[in-house]
Order: sequence, then structure tokens, then C-alpha cells
Amino acid sequence: MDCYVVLWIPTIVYNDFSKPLEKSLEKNISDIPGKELVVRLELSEEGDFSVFSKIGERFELIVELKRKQVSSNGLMLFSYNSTSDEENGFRFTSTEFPTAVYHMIKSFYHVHDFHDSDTDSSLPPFVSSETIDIQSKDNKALLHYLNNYNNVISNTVRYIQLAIRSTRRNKEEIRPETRSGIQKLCLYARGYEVYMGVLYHSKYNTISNTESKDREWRHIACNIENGLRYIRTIEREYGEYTQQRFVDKVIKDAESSLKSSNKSIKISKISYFIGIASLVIGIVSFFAALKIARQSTNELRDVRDALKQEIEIIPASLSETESKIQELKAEQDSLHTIDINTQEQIQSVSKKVDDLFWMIRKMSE
Amino acid sequence: MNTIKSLDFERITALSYIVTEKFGYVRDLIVKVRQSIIDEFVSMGFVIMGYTSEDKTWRVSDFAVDFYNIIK
Repeated sequence: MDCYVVLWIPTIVYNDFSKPLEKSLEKNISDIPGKELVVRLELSEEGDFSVFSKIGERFELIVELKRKQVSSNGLMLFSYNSTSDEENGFRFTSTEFPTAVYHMIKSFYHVHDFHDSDTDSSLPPFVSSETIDIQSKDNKALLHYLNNYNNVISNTVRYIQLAIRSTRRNKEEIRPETRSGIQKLCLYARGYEVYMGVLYHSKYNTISNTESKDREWRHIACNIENGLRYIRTIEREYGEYTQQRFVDKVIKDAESSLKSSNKSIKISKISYFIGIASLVIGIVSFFAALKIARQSTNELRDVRDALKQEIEIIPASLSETESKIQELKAEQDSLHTIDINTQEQIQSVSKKVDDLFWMIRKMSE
Repeated sequence: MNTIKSLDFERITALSYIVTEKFGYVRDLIVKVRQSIIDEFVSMGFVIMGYTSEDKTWRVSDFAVDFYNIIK
């Protein structure tokens, strides 16, 4: 069964898409660990894509996307044969075209200026069982993408308001992180504004504008334009706040640096004076020590002279002492002699006493 | 009737779910999160859709995690 898909490739200016960024691309499009689905896309010179999937160790062709028409506003029409009628899984039918493959095809032509590749929204591709002229006024594919553009802008407004409300509900001041998050949302929508502008202002869009007679498309146009005004206002308000905070922070940092510098200068001055004082004290201490050393030397010299004199006197004293010792010794000897004589006299007296006792005893007998 | 407050609560709860779960099968996600909220998440780039050979899969983006952290 023949199927058709119209893919919108974001472009800033009108583009003929003759210079792709890649010739082939390979990616695991599964989000379940251990259940990888590696898909490879190959781009031909004619702008057709061959879609392969890795089965075992080799790639098998899943589908050929034949490029039928290109519009410089970013729309591309491809035809292909339906691959499967299974309800789920990786398949290409007249009602379903894998958004992951659409995302890969975009990567052949489009660089993500406003966000990471991983944050690229996957707008549902326009699929049909009938061919379509993408260069006809208000064609279904163009309106499909403008309707999705409306969804992105409306959802961005919705989630910005959610962030503001949830912060207010918690009765806290809007934190810098919240402001930064809101700015990211704004940037996301502004990226769409740039790229979708090419479609929105395309000559093929005659129905989606604020003057439209079609009520639904007038509302969509009004939602898009007013939504973008709101986003710009929020972006400016929060951007200015963030810039002001940044400026305040820079000024505060500068002031604290200045204070630190002043303190450092004061400390340096104090250190300078302490250094000079230390130097003076050092010099004074040196001379004082020198003076004390000189005095000590003089005193030592006096002591030395006194000692010398005393040492000179010592030999004379020694000879006197020796003669005194000899005198004393002579006295001791004389005393000893006296002592011996005394003992002899005592002995003779004792003998005489004994004789007297003997004579007395004899006489008494 | 849904109020803004109840819708906010539903969106925050759904964001909490995808940030906590991180990835999974779409068939499990639609049991937990209303289809219209999933569509919002996809268009905002909060959820990225993928495939295995048999089933559709999803994973949360860093953008969603950052956003959830400022509103939780």
C-alpha cells in the first residue's frame, strides 16, 4: 500500500535542502536497556532515504522513503510502502510514521540552535494514504504543522504559568532557578517562532491569520501571536531580572573585593610598621647585646687579673703553710717525747707504789 | 469540572511520575498519565518517544527534569 508522509524540516531561511549535513546516520532509538533497536538511515543523491534496522549483526532494509516534493519553507513529501499492520512497534503505515525516524531525518539538515538535540520536540509527522501537493495553498500538511505550532506555543504559555503559580502557591519568592527555568521555556518557544515563522508567513498559508474568516484558524493565529507576545514579555521581565541580579552580583563581588583589598592594604600597612619596629628593636637589641658583651668582657678581664694576683700570692702562702705545718709537726713530736717521759715516770711511780704495798704486806705478816 | 488548580496538580503529578520512572513502555505510561498530558509532554520536549522492534517506548528529557525541579 502506498503511503505518504510530509516532514517539516526547521529552516531559518528559504532552503532548497541540496546540502545535507550527513550522508548516513545510525542511532539506537529504543529507550529500554537491553532491548536496543539500532536504526541506520542512508541518504541518496536524489534525496531518498533508506531505513535499515539492525537484526543480529547485520542491517536489514525496512523501508525506502522516496522524496517526491520539496518546498523551500521546509516541507518535504516522501512516499513509501506500508511495512506492517501490527498494532505496536516499529512500523511505517498510512497512519503512523515513527517520530524517532522523523527526528533522525531532521538531523540531516537541521542544527539545534535553541536547545539540545535530546530536547527536540517530536512533532507528529503528517501521514496520509493519499498524495498531497505541499505547494498548494493551505494544504493539509502545512495546516497540520501550524496546528502543532499552536500547541507548542499554548503549552509553553501553560507551563510558564504553571511554574509561576506553583511558586506563588508555595508562598515563596520566585527563586533564581525558577526564573532560569522560565527563561529556558521562553527560549524553547522562541526557537519555534523563528523556524515556524517560515511556515507561518509562507505564501501557502492564507487561512491561519488574525484576519481569517475561518473562526478556528483565526483563533489559532490569535493564540500563536498573543502567546508569543506573552512569552516575549515574560522573557524580557525575567531576563531583565536575571540580568539585574547578575549586575547586582558583579557589583556586590566587586565591593567585597574592594573591601578585602582595603583590609589587605591596612594589614599591609600594619605589617610594614611592625616590620620597621621589629628592625629597630633588632638593631637596638644588637647594640645592647654588644654593649653588654663589652661590659662582660671588661668584668671578666678584672676577674682574671684578680685571679692572677691571687695565683701569684698562692705560692708564698703555700711556703708559709708548709713551715707552719713543720712547726706543728715539731710541736707534735715534742709533745710525743713528753708523753713518753711521762709514761716512764708513771711506770716508775707505779713500781714504787707496788714495792711499798709489798713491804707493807710483809710487815703486817 | 476541572479547575486550574486540579489541572496543575495533575500535570505536576504526571511530571513527577516521568521524572521518577525515567523510561518505559508507552502502554504502561498511558495507564498512569492521561493521553492529552502525554501529548503536551511530547510537544514540550519533556518526553521523547522511541521504539523497540515490538513496542513503543518513552524516556524523560533533561529539559523535563530541570523543569520539574523548579516547580516541585
